[in-house]
Amino acid sequence: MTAPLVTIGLEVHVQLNTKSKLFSSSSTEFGHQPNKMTSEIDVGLPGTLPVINKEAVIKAAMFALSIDAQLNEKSIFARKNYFYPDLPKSYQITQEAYPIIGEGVLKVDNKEIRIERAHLEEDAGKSIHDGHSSYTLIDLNRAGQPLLEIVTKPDITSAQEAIKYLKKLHHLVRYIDISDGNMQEGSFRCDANISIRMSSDEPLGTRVEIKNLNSFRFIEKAIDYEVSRQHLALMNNEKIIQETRLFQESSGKTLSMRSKENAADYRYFPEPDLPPLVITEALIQQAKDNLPTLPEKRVQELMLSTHLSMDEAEMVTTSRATEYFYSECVKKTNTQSYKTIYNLIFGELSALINKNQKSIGFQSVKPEHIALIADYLSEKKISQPMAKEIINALWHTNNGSVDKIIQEKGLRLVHDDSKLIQLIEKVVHSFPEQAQQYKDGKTKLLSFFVGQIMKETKGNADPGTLSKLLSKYLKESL
Amino acid sequence: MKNLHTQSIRELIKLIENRLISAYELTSYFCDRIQTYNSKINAVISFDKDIALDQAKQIDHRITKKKSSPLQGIPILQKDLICSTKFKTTCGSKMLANYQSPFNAHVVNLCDAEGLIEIGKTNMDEFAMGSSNETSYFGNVLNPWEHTRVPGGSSGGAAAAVAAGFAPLATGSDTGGSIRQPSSFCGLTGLKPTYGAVSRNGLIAFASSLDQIGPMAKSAEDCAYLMDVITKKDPKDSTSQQYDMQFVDYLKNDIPPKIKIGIPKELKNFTIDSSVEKAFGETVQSLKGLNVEFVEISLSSMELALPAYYIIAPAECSSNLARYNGALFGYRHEGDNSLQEMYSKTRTEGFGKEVKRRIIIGTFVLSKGFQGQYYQKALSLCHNLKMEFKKIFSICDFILTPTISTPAFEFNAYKNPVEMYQSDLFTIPANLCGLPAISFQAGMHGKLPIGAQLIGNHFKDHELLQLVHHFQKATGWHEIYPEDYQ
Repeated sequence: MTAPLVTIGLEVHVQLNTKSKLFSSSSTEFGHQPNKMTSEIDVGLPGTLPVINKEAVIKAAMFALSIDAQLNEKSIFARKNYFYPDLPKSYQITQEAYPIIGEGVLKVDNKEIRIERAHLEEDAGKSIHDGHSSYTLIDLNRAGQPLLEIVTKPDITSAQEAIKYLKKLHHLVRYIDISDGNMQEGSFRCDANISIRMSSDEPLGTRVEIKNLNSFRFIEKAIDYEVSRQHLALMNNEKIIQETRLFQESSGKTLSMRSKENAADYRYFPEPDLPPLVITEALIQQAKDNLPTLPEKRVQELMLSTHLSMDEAEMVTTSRATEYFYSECVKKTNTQSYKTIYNLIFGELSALINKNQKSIGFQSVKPEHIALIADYLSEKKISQPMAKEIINALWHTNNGSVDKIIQEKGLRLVHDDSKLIQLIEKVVHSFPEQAQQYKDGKTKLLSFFVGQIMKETKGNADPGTLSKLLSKYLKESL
Repeated sequence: MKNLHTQSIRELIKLIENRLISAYELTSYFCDRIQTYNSKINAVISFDKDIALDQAKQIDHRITKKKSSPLQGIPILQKDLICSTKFKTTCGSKMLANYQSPFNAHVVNLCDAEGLIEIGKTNMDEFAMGSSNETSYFGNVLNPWEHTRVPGGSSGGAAAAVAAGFAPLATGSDTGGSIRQPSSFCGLTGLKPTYGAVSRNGLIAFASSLDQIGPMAKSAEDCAYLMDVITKKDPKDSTSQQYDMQFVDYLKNDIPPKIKIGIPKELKNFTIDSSVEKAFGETVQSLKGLNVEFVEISLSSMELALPAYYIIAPAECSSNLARYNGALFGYRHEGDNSLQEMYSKTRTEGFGKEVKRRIIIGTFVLSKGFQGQYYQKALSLCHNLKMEFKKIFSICDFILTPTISTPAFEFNAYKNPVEMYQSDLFTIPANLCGLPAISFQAGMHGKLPIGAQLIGNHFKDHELLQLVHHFQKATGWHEIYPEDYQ
């Protein structure tokens, strides 16, 4: 049995992280009491009119610039008409024939996935059916949230490739800070159009759409299931019907929702309440100003300027916040201790962040702290365990100072030779037996003396200097 | 004080400024007229003397001689599709019969800020769909000039109310003639402003790309006073535009020399009542007396404007009115229904026949497979019409037509809705092209007033008002009042 050729096109709904909704000034914050984040516009009260949120337009423009896509100077909003209780106006304001963003490309592992278009639209509210047999609850907090729907051409050939594309896109929208990408909260949802054929000579097979996938794992499962379902159907000489299917998480199967014959007629027409959306040069400039150096370019920069390996540089650019934190540290170090900074961030600091389920940038350990600790490490003023202790102390203090912690805890390496020699004399003399054994050739006892002296100094002696002085003393004095 | 309802706004302002009358007395006067006469004509559907007098008291507190707010203390009636927190906003429909808006329309806020007294809301065709005010859930409005006649629509309540002297000013809204046609039937001056000149924020939508709020009053000058208040760009309406104009001041100037008015030669293709023809001819003569020149023009797309309108307006209405389904607000059919049943029963019971007819037409013309045949074609007709107007306004300043081909007709005059639609022929082109147009009284036929319409180029509303103002000074047609409401 030969494997079928799979053709996939993806539509991703990215919720833009603007302060207010797409057409009203209501807040977009998640997690509030139902229907608290609504205005008369979101509820669709008679007489209300939409006003486009400029921030959403700028974020859309940032996306277009980031993938070098066509940014249309003029785009048109349209009404998509259908009845549902969580759609207060009974139409969704979206863009149909004239979207804000035209063709572009997203490169995934050296393969170009072509973007067909991306458009702005408002989200609907939520219907809550569970728990009540006789009624449905409506929460309109989500109604009017800004979405950017990003549509690919049918360029994807496997579930794995789809996931790679989605992860890349997910990383990008978070990195350029146009979305929080929170999949549990529905800020990044995906519809997949899937068809198969048995050979590349055949025309594309009948397309089936799977709607509302909201985790990478489910997307992969859904596509894989759908491909084998279609394959099996073809093997049995069944016809694949054009339809919309839903992925059922519990069974891992896709189930038919509606066929093409029953597809709704949305009666699109231009939204008369909104003039055409015009992208001005000034707006493009604003988008450019807001756009950070893109991850791929930043990786190259970091490798060159801070001598990180590619893996390390990619690690730094996992998120905008991490990249920012690292870059701030780099700016503040006086000893160019980039590698040490990297190790501190992805070692002790990451451990604390993960343990406490915080995100980088919000903790009390600041870039200037990390930079200073790295400097002290390079200057051998402190030891690695001391660095760890300082970071832990900083984590638990607000506006903590590295020097103050060092002073309070006495965390400074002793470099002073005369002071160390005094200690060495004292310790060696208090262990005459061991000194004799050392003299007799049991040189392993060097570490015993180091340990004893460290105990005396509470670990503050610089180990390198100490062992040098100690072996010299033992050789000469005994 | 007697006969305050026959005074012009200019005179009322003087009375208030000179403390010859208080806002309270003036408001009482008009409220009393509503209480006395409204039961005869059913023009006002929301009215509360206490609410009106409370506002008047506050205004009397703050009245100064300052010219900054000339209309303070002057009563006004709002059409009942303009949202106001003082009264219900019903749209003349069972669907919103108990609807209380939690916010004010931009226009209402501007009127409040000016110090106008909102004394009530006027009856109207349901959701502004109708030409005779026969589709209101709250019953017919009677024409004060002759009670067997319709007042016109959809702003029939506003027209009848001002004609009967219930208020010196009223707002109307005009989607295909809803200010101008009732103004013509009731002997008023009514202006449909340039699209975008007045914010639609808080105007309950019928057809968003055509709807426009405008003033209705006895004279062009009275309309100008209201235009000075309501033409302020509104950030909450993306289609609203800045219109920098002092309308009343502009009227004081003489009309510019060499004004040219075009008369479409296509008028002769339509059946026009002889009484309207006669008044039209006399209007031309009176205007010539003002040194206005007439030219013949061609407006060949005029005939196609009507079918285009009856596609575009229903298309938009089918979408605008989809929110009235029982889910969130307004009338709901109660009972153990499925969602589909709730929708269908709510809309079946909540909407009247005419509204349902237009929703169905609109839904049909937007359907897959039919858009190209209807909606797209209508849009391209609109485009042609705009091009034609552009050409016309390069050779003349205004276009003169009758407002409507007949005087006010009798109730149930049209058995077939399409026949009634056809009566909107002269008023529709201005809406399709966003142009300002004004209807003013131009004659009488027996007891009934007859109107004429002037159409101007975009943002020439002030010039329209000025020309009609001078016409009215010369002819005095605006100073006739219906017999029973002296």
